[in-house]
Amino acid sequence: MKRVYLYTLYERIWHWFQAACILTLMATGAVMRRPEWFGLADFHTAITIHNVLGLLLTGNAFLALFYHLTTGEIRQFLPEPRDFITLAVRQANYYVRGIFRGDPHPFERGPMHKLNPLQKITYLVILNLLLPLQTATGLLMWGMEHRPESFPSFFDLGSLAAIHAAGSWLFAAFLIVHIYLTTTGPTPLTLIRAMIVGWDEIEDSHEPASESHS
Amino acid sequence: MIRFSRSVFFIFATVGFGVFGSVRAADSPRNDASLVDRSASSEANSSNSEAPAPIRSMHPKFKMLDKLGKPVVRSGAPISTMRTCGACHDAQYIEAHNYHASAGWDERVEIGKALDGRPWDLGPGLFGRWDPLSYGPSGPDLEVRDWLMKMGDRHVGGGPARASGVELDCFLCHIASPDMNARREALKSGSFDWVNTATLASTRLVKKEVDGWKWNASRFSSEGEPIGDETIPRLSTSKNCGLCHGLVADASKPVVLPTNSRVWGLETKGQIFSPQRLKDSGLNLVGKDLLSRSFDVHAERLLECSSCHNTINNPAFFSGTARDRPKHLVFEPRRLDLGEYLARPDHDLAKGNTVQGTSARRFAGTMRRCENCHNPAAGHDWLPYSRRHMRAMNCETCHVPRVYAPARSQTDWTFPDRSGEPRVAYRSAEGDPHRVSTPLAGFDPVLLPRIEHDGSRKLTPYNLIVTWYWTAGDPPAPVDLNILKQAIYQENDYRPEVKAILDDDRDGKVEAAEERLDTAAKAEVVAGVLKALGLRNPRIRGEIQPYGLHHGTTSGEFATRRCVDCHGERSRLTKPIDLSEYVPGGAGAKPVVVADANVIWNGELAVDRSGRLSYEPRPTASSYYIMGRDRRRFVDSAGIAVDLVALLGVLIHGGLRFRAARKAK
Repeated sequence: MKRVYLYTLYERIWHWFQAACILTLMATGAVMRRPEWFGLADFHTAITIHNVLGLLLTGNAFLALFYHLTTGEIRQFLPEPRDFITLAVRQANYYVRGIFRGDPHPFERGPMHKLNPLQKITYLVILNLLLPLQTATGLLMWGMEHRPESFPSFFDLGSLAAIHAAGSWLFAAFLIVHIYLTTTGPTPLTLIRAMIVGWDEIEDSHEPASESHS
Repeated sequence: MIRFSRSVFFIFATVGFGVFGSVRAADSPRNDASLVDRSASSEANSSNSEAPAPIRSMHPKFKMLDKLGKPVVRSGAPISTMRTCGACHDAQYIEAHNYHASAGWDERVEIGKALDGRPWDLGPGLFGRWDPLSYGPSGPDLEVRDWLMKMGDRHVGGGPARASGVELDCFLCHIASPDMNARREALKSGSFDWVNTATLASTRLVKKEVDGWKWNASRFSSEGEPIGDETIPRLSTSKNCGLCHGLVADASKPVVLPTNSRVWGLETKGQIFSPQRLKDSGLNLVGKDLLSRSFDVHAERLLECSSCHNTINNPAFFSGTARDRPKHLVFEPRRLDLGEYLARPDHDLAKGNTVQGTSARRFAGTMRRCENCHNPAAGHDWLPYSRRHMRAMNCETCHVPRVYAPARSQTDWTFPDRSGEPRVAYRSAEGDPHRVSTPLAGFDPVLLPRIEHDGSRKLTPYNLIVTWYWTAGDPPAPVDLNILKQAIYQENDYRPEVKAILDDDRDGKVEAAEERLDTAAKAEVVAGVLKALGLRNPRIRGEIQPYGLHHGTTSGEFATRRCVDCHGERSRLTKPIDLSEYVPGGAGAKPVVVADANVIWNGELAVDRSGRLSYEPRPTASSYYIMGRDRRRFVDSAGIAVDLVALLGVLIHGGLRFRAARKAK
């Protein structure tokens, strides 16, 4: 096994902060939607936490965008147009069949290839569609609550809330699958540990795609 | 010379009215502390110097005159307020600018064109609009005399009544103790010329004897001026307003409910305008010990009805409303001269925009609203999204959270008792509300969006009263109660066919609970009799009249403050309100809301298995979004489905991996 420095400190902070924010947002969002299920007195607190975390998550997203643009790490998230479908199918086949047979991962992970094709397309959707959608609808709702007179009448809080809720359900589905897939490394906790400490263990038989830090 | 003396009168009168206001404030029970202080200092001073004379109204003496301008004490004729008060004030102007006097007379419309949707109504006012609580009167053949005898005790005189001899009764509002009972009796007996004189019965100036009203000469000066304080004109107080509008009480003795049902504000809204704390009242309130709030916080703070419903040209109050001044003008500095005002005080009082205030709508919104006196931002720091809340709802929504006195919920005229009275049901009361022993639990008003002047809508608390009655003819009109009684009763019993259908338990008697037409079959029997009596197409009509709750305000801990009161499954905003225990005509009959109600009727009427009719508001249908309450079911169903699929997939995949790993070992 070979130790490879996969995730920089900033990437790990970004990831875990985002994870904490999203989980807390979902929890407080649930309180806001069903206050009687979660201790009625916390309704106002839940709203305040939700709003603050929503803003922090947005700020975190912009900082991350800046980081990934300036360091070129943005390329990690961009699917390669060439053979993308073939590669994605290969990854899907691994999850459907290969993983049960003990086949090796079809793609080696390394500092220059942190994400497989399915992860790339998923994160592209999550970070470029779902997260902005949640941010935009959340900000609009917040604005309409604070300055209702500044919004034209066709802005409907109920519809915005419905879109926001739909996004939350999709986030929840993503989280279920995302957390599960972290267990698909050499051991169930290998990938999570890598995201905590930054170092990952890659089998010697696989040549890392780039220079390792070990 | 006349001009000079008139000016002097107005100066004195102005000072007098102003001073009188101070005296009233000191008299108020909430000023006990200051009263004690004053009396203490007064006692202390009395040993050193003579106590100051009590402050009195400076309204000058005046002669009580009859229609011919002669002192009544000499002529023995009834008083003419137009001559008496009109000697200094422009009584004609006051009467002409007075929607209490015109009572909708000036707003009459052709039959069939009333905005309330009733084909038999003549207009929106007290005169011409059928009153479902007292069964009229209205209709194209309505005579002023009939109207006066039935509704005159709610009318101030003048306007349509003047032709019948009832002048504008200035005393009703401007003396301390007008005699409403004597006035009512004079109206009912048709002694219209003496109605305003009867108002003075409590002043001992006049007394009713066997051969009519007699003036008490010992209570008059040789010039014909009344002696004593009882008739000194003064600013109208809330008690004066309460004579017609509702129950007004101070805190000097425990508030008790009247034994009759003609106290309109109480009857329709459960409204009691009093500074008294609920726990100190004589009402049999459930959980009374904890109710340390007052009946009305504004009464507690010494406000009078006229503090908000002021004469609209009163220079002390006038600031103009946003609707009648240029947008750039924040303050209107021009004022009427005081003398000019006292000569011609406009008696079109400032009014709000209530759903029940259907007449004189041209003055709707001339009254100061809460936000014109209070700074909502100053006391609501704790309220998240205060602008949003205040844009979505009127202040009363939170500050009139509960009504404790009984208010009517149903008036059933389809089956009147032998005396022609309707079957009435009340909210708050667990039994007859006019009995002292009846427990009063209070009720939560229903919240409906009200259409404001600017077209916006705001949630506002309401009491809903459903009224059921028979109509017949084409166009329909309410069935004469005497004919209806004929259709139900016969000598000392019910008509046999009516009795047969009412007697649900077949015990040969009609118990109180059976005295109702709560099925279509029962209604058909009575309709058949009505037809036999010559009525065409008799049918039951149900009508809902909302009554806006704008009094009975409270503050602090008693106002709605908890988020969950609105933002949750049991939200106040969607809480149903019971309308009636049964539906006359059967469960299929649905009442309609009066057509001129400025509320958005967005909910649904529902009849449960026991036959109880209720109304469930649906604010979402009016584009309200209540966080914590409103959810799009489709979104949640689809979301849960997606997440379950994800979870199921993960479990299956994980299980298969686990099995594969064990096999590999």
